[in-house]
Amino acid sequence: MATKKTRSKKAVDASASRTSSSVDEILLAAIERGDDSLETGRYLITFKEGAAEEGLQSLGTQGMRVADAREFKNQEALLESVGDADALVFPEIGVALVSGDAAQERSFSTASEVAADSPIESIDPELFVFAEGSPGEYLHSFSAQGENTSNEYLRGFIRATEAIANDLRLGMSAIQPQTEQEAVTALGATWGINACRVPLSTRHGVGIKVAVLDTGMDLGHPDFTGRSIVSQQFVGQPVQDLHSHGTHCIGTACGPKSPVGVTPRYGIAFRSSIFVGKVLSNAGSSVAGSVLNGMNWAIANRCDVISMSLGSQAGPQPYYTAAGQAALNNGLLIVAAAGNAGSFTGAPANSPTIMAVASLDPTLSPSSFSNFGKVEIAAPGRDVFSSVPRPTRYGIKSGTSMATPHVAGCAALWAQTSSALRGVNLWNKLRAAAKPLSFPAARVGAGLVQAP
Amino acid sequence: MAKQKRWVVTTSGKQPLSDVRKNLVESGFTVDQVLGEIGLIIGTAEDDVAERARKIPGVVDVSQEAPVDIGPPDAPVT
Repeated sequence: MATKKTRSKKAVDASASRTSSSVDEILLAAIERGDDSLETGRYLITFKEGAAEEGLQSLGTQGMRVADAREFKNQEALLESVGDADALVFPEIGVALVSGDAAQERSFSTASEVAADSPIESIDPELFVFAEGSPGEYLHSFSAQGENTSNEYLRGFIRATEAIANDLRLGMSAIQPQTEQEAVTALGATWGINACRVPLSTRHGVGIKVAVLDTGMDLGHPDFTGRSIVSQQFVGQPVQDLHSHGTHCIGTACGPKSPVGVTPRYGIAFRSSIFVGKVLSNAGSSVAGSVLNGMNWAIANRCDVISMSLGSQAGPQPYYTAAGQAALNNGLLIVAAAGNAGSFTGAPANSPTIMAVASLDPTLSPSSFSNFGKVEIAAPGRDVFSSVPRPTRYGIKSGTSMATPHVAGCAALWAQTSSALRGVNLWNKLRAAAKPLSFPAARVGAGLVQAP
Repeated sequence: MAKQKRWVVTTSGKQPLSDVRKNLVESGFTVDQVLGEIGLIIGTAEDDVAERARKIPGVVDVSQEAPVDIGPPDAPVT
């Protein structure tokens, strides 16, 4: 799968994840990849009981070249014989094998949330099957690079330790814990999460759909294993995030309660459904048309909270205002970054139907870069620790882009507390519950966003 | 020949989107996308066609598509 590839090895891997690739080809690609993944790069789609025929047709309507095991004598379909087919369907067991490229083009992900009326039951990575013994050892025995794995691990560990130390220093100086309980939570979470009082909340965002319209996401990041993730791209590039901005924002809004390894908690709505809309290219740029396409998609999917850490230093745009109104009409809330120009709030956050988010420093003062004027609420935006694509995994970024997903995550927690807290009501609740700050409303709006 | 530009047409929601689309096409507007959930139509046209499009019933606004940029991955503030 693309998420396991380095860019330079992409061509090698792509050719090895065809439905007709031999086991040797796939294994060789896995060894060159140098990780311990047991995934072959191909996918297995399981259809619902009795829905195999419908499933076969649905793959066809998605433009896949489909081979049917029934076309082979005794259904002995040899994978090497299916030529350039994107998928090979096994009707007897209601399963289809899909090539890595075909899956990637259609943004299939292992954790894709499947629609109730879909013939698809689940989408899973195809795994290597080994005889007795450790599969990791098996791969390493073929790999001259195997010894690098432990070095990589140690380097990652040192990076994580430095990041945590840095974060704790910031957290301690910023927020004086008032109770013993808060002191304990401060040790285990980022300064931003603590400032929003997230660790004290019993909510987690289950049942709430959070869309993050950004540069995509590292769909294979270990902190998101098993999560419900629906993804779609609008910029002509795979959803896989080669920038890092999108993965960072998703980490804050939806990241785990207990990240992998010795990492502080950095995510808020850890059981929410994640909708990844890639509306910014891997270079971090885009046009309004792609952004609007993503907004239309998020609204069509009835995402309760739509987070947009993007914009331009322009006046209010009627089209963003219309999109924000459509969201509110459907009981959905769009939050957007005020911008980092140290000037007036940019678009789309300056639309009256979109909630503008300003950035705070760890001292809870407005960040010097944070735009002002139309500001509804403020959130931690300076030196924010969150997820970034592998192999780095974690990183610190600053901006109103980082403040916005703090509000989106808290909004998902509030939405979980009551089905009445949607759209305008959710907007009002977030402001009413915010912690007042002694700065003008034009800088911090109603104040610091708080979790329920 | 005048330059073709990308435009975003915002509609009032009081006219069927399909009617607005039809009128836009008839006025010389090339429709690329219709975003039904948010009542927008995106397309390309020359300046004078966009100007005429503003008078079509159900059209609230015709604006040029703005660029969006968050900077490179290593930007200090993003």
